[in-house]
Amino acid sequence: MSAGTTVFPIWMEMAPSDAQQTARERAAEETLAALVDEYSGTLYRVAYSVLHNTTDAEDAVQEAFLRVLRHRDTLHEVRDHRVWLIRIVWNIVLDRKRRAKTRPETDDIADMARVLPAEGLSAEERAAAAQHHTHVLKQVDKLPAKEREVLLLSAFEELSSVEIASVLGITESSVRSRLFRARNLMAEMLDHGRSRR
Amino acid sequence: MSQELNCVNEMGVTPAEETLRLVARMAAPEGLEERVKARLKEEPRSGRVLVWPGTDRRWSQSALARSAAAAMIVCVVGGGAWSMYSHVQSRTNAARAMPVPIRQVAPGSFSNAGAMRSPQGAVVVHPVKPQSKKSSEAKPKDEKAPNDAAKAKAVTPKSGAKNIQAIGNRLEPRKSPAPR
Repeated sequence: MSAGTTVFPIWMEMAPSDAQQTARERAAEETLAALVDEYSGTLYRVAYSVLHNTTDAEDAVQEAFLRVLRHRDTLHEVRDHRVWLIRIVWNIVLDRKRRAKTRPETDDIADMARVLPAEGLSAEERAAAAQHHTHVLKQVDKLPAKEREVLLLSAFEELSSVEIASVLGITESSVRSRLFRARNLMAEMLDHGRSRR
Repeated sequence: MSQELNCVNEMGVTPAEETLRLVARMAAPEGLEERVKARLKEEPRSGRVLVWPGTDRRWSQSALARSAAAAMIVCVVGGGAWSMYSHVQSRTNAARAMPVPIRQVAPGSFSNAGAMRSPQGAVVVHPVKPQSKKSSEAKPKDEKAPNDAAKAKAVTPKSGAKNIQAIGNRLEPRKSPAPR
């Protein structure tokens, strides 16, 4: 055996010291704080686009970061933090939406449409715009789940089709075909709504 | 009309998607980051498994100590199982018929008429001589029946009728001679 290297048998393995452990925990906490600063806004908007409720969206963001906290030891293994976090919050909001299916969302959608930005519009135009947004959002909710999910995520300009595919766990071509179907369905539904009016 | 709604603008977005884009562009509420961080601080840190107060953590985390503890657990569980197995094995060599204590019948109550309960599956300990076919066939004719069987045989329908008649005769009041 060479002089420089010493091989210890497995039973002589030394446990990591307290100082090392503490340093590692501190580093993980700093990474987590940086993630909160950088992505909590994005996660909130993703959650809000599905849940249509500010309180629920904020809860979803907090829950997402709590999940990250529980797995902070594996943070360094994640390649793209943004997509990974969006995927976490996406699963949370879908789960919440499924559980709260019985709750009427009509008021939430109307509230959301009212707070959407409408700069440079008169009061009357704002009211008309809010009505239009409410109608659109209700139609989006009626879309089949697969098409609706792709359509919602495609509205986020910062997400490419590859990233949407990664969030949903499907291929990029599936994203494109679902988006195409979603657009057609939306057009049909809105057209049908107008002709009835 | 449908085509009009489905048409895309210079950004490649349908009018319906404009609404979704507006939602996606909405600003997050003020102080969201701080609230999230505060919530994360409230969350208890993941506990360490089996950290006893006063014990050296290095000792409990070393591979040797963990191996020794695992080996000890295996020995205790295995030893216990073996002791139970061997204990039960020694008593179950063969089934034994246990004598049933004769029940004292109180006067005036029902008796069991000498019947003995023989549980199913009981193995007779004392050896039984194998009987030849001839003797087993001849026996019912020649051999006297045991007491109970003889009694049962005695109470045939015919004899029973006779007995009843005799009892009846006895109980019947005798005709007194006609007065002279």
